[in-house]
Amino acid sequence: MTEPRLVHNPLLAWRAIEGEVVIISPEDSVVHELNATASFVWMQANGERTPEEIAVLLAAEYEVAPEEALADTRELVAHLEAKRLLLSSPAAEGSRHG
Amino acid sequence: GKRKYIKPAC
Repeated sequence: MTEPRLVHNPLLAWRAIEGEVVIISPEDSVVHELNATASFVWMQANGERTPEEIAVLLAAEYEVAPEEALADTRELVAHLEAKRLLLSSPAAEGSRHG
Repeated sequence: GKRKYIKPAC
């Protein structure tokens, strides 16, 4: 079982302004603003990292225990996936053919 | 070298 990688919904437009990400979702005309740590998580979601890997990076960058970083990352990812801002993609190795 | 942590949120 391969872990899903997190990737931004390609239909969105987003920009980091002074370290905080603003996401525009044209489909439902909503602008989402993320705080600094959520922005960090968002910017690590490049299609190559799992929530667990992102939580490790979060704990390395911020004053937080790895367990708390993992729980908070999972909670945020669930929220962003529910809003269709983040998508889970299969691991790159698992999706290759040929 | 570590930044102050706040819970990630929208």
